[in-house]
Amino acid sequence: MSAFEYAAPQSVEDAVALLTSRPEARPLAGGQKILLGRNSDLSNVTVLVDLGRIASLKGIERQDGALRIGAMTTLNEIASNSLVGKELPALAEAIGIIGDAQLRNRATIGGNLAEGDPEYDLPAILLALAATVDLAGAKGRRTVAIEEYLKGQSRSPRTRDELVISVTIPVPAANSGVAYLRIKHPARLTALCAVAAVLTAERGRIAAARVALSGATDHPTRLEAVEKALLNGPVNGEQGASESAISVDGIAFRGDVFASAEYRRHLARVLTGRAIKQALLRTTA
Amino acid sequence: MGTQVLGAPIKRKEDPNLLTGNAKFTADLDLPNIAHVAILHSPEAHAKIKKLDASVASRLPGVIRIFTGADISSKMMPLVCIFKPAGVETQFPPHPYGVPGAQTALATDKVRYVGEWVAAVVAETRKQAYDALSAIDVEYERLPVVTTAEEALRPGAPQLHDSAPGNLCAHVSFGDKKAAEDAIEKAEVVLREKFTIPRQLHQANETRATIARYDAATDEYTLWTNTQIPHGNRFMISSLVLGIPYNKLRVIVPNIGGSYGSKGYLYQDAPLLLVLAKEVGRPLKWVDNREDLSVTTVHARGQVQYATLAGNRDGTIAALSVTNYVNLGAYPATNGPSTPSILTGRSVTGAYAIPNPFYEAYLVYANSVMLGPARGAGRMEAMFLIERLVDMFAREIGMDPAEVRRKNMVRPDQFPYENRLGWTYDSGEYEAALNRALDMAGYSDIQQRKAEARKNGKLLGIGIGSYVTIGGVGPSSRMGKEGLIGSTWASAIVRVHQTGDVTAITGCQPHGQGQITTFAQIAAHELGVPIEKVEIIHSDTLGVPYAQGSYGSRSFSVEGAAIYEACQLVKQKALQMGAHLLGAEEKDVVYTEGKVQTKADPGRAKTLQEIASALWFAWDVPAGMAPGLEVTSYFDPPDFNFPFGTHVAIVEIDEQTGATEVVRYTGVNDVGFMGNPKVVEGQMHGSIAFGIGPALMEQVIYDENGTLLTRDLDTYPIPRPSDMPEFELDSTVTPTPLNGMGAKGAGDVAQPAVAPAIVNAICDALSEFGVRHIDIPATPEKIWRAMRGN
Repeated sequence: MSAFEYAAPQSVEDAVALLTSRPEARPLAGGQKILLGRNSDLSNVTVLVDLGRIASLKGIERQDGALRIGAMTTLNEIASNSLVGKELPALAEAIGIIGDAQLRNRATIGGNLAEGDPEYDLPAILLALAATVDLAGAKGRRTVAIEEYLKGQSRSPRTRDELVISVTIPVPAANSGVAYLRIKHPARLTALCAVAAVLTAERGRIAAARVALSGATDHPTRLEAVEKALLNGPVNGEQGASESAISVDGIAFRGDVFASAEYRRHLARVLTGRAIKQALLRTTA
Repeated sequence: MGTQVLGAPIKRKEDPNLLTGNAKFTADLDLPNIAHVAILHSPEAHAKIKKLDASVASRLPGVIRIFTGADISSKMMPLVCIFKPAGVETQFPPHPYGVPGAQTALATDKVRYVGEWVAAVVAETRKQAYDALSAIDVEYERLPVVTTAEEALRPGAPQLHDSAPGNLCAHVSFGDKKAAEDAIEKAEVVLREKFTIPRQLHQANETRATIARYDAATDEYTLWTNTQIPHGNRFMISSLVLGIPYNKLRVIVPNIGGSYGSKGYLYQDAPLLLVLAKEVGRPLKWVDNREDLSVTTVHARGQVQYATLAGNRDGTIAALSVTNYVNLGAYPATNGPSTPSILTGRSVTGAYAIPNPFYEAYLVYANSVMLGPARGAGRMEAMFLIERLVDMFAREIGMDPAEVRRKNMVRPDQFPYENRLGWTYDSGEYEAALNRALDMAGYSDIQQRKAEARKNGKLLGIGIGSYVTIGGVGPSSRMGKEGLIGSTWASAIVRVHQTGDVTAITGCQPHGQGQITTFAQIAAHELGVPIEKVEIIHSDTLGVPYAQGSYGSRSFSVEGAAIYEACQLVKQKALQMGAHLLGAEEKDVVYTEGKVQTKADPGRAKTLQEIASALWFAWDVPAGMAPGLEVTSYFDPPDFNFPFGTHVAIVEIDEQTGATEVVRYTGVNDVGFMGNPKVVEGQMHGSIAFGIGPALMEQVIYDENGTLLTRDLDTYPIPRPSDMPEFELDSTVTPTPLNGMGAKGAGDVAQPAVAPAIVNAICDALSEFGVRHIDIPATPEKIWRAMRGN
C-alpha cells in the first residue's frame, strides 16, 4: 500500500474542499473497492478522505413521498431499516442480495453508486425506481435524475468534483409492483445480468413501467422498448411477460470469459420476462 | 475416555492458536536487518531476452541490488525434476549432474512461459522492491507460442528445449494395448469420447513465502518457507541446486495456510533467496501476492483424454482404452510427471474389474506454467473419465447406471485385486458403499422428484460418482521402479521421558490435516498416557529425521503408522523392563492402560513413567538392555492403500437460464480405520469443496498468445460457502491389512468423486435434450447451449 495522507472531515463542505483542492484525493466510504482491491487502486492516492465522520451523510428519512438515504448508509442498514421495510420492502429485498453479508455490512449506497462499475446491482434498482442523486461540489449542491448521473459517469468515470450526498427514492404509487432478479457473477459476486422492474397498475392496465438492466452491458440502461410495449397492456395478460414480446434489439451486450454476449442477451430477456411477471403479480398484492 | 482416544472425534489441539490469530505463518516472521525481494515476471510466453537494463531501477529509493540470471548462473544449478517415468525414453532440460533438470531460478537467454522469473529486486521494504520492477527495462524478441500438448507435438510446432525435440517429455503406457483393441473389436457396444479437463488453481488462503538467512560466521543457511516437503527441499537445494553441504542447510516450516498440493514442490524462491542472502549479506524475505501466485505456483489437472469404453448389452464392461495428452508446462515441476502418468494412468479402472484396460499418456512441454498436483491429484481426472463413461454406457444400453456399477464393481471376494494397470487394491466393499449412498439420496423415488421440479421450471437430475483413490504413498522400491528419484518410507521417533511425558517426532508435514492431534492420539492411545502428555515435533529439519512430508493422503496411514509401530516397540521394551522391575518373567506380565502389570495380580504393576524413570537412571537394567526409553521406527508400507466410496449429487437446472444448483449431496466414504472421525469429516468437507469448484466454475484460461487470463479471484471463481450444497455424509469402515491400525489415506481421497457425480447429475437432467456430455466446468452458459443443441 502506498503512503498517503488520511483526512476525516466532519462536514460535507470540508470534504468537498479537500477533494477538489488536492490532486488524486480519493473519498473513502465503506472501503470495499479501494481497500480490498488491488494495490494499484491506491498507488496514486495522495489523500484518503474518510467520509465516515460526516453525520449528515447517514440516515434514512421519509421526505415528500420519497425515502432519502444518506450516502454513507450501508447496504445492510438499508435492507434492515424499518422505514424501508414499511414503505419499500422490495428495495430491502433487492439490496439484500447484493454481494454477501460481509460486503453489505460495509459497502455504502453512495460508495457503491460512485464506483460506477457496470456490473454492480444498484444502478438497475435505482433506474427502475426513478431515483435522484443529490450531489455536492465546489459550485454548490444539485440534484440530478439517476439517468443523468449514470450518463455523466459513463462520460467521465470517477469524477471527483462532486460528492454523492444522498440518494432519494420516490415511494412507488399504490398498485405498484417492484421486482429485482439477478444472475450472480461467479467470481465477483456482482451482477452478470440483472433486471429491475417497477410497474404500476390502474384499472387493470399497466399505467407506468420502468424496466432497467445492469451487468450485461457496458452501462446500466433502461429498456425503453420493453417499457413501451408494456404500457397500457393488461395487467393480467400474458403478453407482457412472454419472452417473445421482449425486445432487446439495439442493445450492445458484453461478452467475456464468464458469459458471451449472446448468453447475456438471452439472460436479459429471460430475467426481464420474469421480473415483469413478478412485478405484475405484486401490483395487485 | 481417559487415554483411549484413538478413534475418538476429539477437538484439535491446533485450533485455539489458529482461530485466535496466534499461530505464526511465514509472512508473520521477521528477522533483524531483513530486506525484501520482489520478482520480475516475464510478460511473454516465449521469447529471447535481447536486453535487460536494471540501471535505472537500481537507483530507485531503497533498492539494494538487482539480480539477473547472469548474476547467479555461477552460483546455482537449475532446479530438478525427481520423477523420471521408468522404462521409457524421456527428455528433460539439462542438469550438470545428469538428473532431470527443470528451470533455472532466473531466466538467462530465454523465457518460456508468462510468469517466468526474469530478475530479482532486493530492497529495504517490500513496497520499494515491487515499485522497482516496472523500472527494469527488458527487451524481448518474441518467438512463436504453443499452448496445448496436442499442438506442441505437431511437426513444425515451436520447440521449447533443445534437449527435447518434438516437445515430448515422455510417452508412458500401462496395460495391454493389443488385448484392449481386440476386446473393443469384439464388443457389442463401443463408446468413443473426448474429455477435456481444464487446469485448476489451488487458491490456498496463504500465498507462498520464503525467508532466507545466511550466517557468514558459521557458513550456515536457514530457510523458513511454507513447503509440504522440508527435507526434500533441504536435500534438493543443498545437493542438487546450490552444491553446499547438506548439514549446512536447515529448513523450518511455520504454519501453512492451506496448500492442497501447491506447496509440495521445490520452487525458485527458496534456493534463490539463499544465494541472494549470502550475496547481499542480509536476511531476505519474499511473500507472493495473489495475482503473481497464478504464475509462480504450479497449475493442476489439465488433461485431454480420448477414451474408449467397450462392453456388452448385458452391462458388463469388456475393455477400456485411454490416450491422454497433458501439457506439463514449459518446464517439468519437481514431481510433475507423476500425476498424469501413474496417478491417473494406473487409476482409470476406478471401482471396476475391467478385464482389458490400457492407458497411454503424452507428457508434453508447452508455453505455460508448470503442472503439479492438487487435492485429488491424478485420481480426479481418472474417476471423471471412468464414471462418465460408465454413465454414458448405461444410457447407451438403457440400463440404470447404478446397476451397471454393481455389475462391474470389484467384489469383496476379489481382494487383493490387481487392476491390470499396476495397482493392487487392498480391501473394499464397493457395492455396500454404493447402495448406502443411493439410499441416503433417495435414488429410488427420483422420478417423482423430477416431475415436481419440472412444475417449477427446473430440470432435476441425479448422478453417481464412485471412487477408488490410491492413498498412502508408498512402498519405496515400487516408487523407485515407477521413476521416483527419491523415497517414500515413513519415519518416527517416540521418546518417553523420565517424567512420563512423551515426545513423538514425525516425518509428516501438517498443512491443515490435524496431525498434531491425530498423531498424539495414536501415541496416547497405544502407550496409555493422557494426550496432554504427548508432544509432537515436526516441520524442522534440525532434529527431525529425514521425512517425506505430507501429500497424496499419506500422513496418517504411513507416517502415523510409523508412530504406531514405534509405540509397539516402546511397549515391548517397557514390558521387558517392567518385568525386570517386578521380578517377574516376561510371559507373566502384560502392558495395559499405561502400565506393566502381572497377569496373576494386577495390583503388582509399574507405570510407564516408573519404567521410563528407571531406564533414565539406568542404575539397574537387564543385561544387554540400553538405557532410556526411545525408539526410532521406519515404516515402508508394503503397498499403497485404496480408500473408496460413492457420492450422489442431485442437481436442479433452471430450464431457461441453465443456472445449476446442487440441491442435495450425499456421500459414503471408507478410509478404513479412522483415527479421528471429526478430522476425517473435515477433510471430506474440504475435498468436496475442492471438487465443486472445478465441476461448476473453476478453470485456468490461457489465450492463444500464452497470456494467462485467470490471474486472481476476480477472474478465477472459487466456491463460496453460498455455493456449497447441503451434504450428508456417512462412512463404512473396511480396514486395510497394510498397517497396524487398518487405516487408509483420507485427506484428498473423496475429491475425485465430486465432479463426476455432479456432471452425471447434469447429464441426467438434460437427457431429454439428447445431451451426452458437458465438459467441466459445467457453467450455466455451457448447459444452456447444450440444451439448445450447440
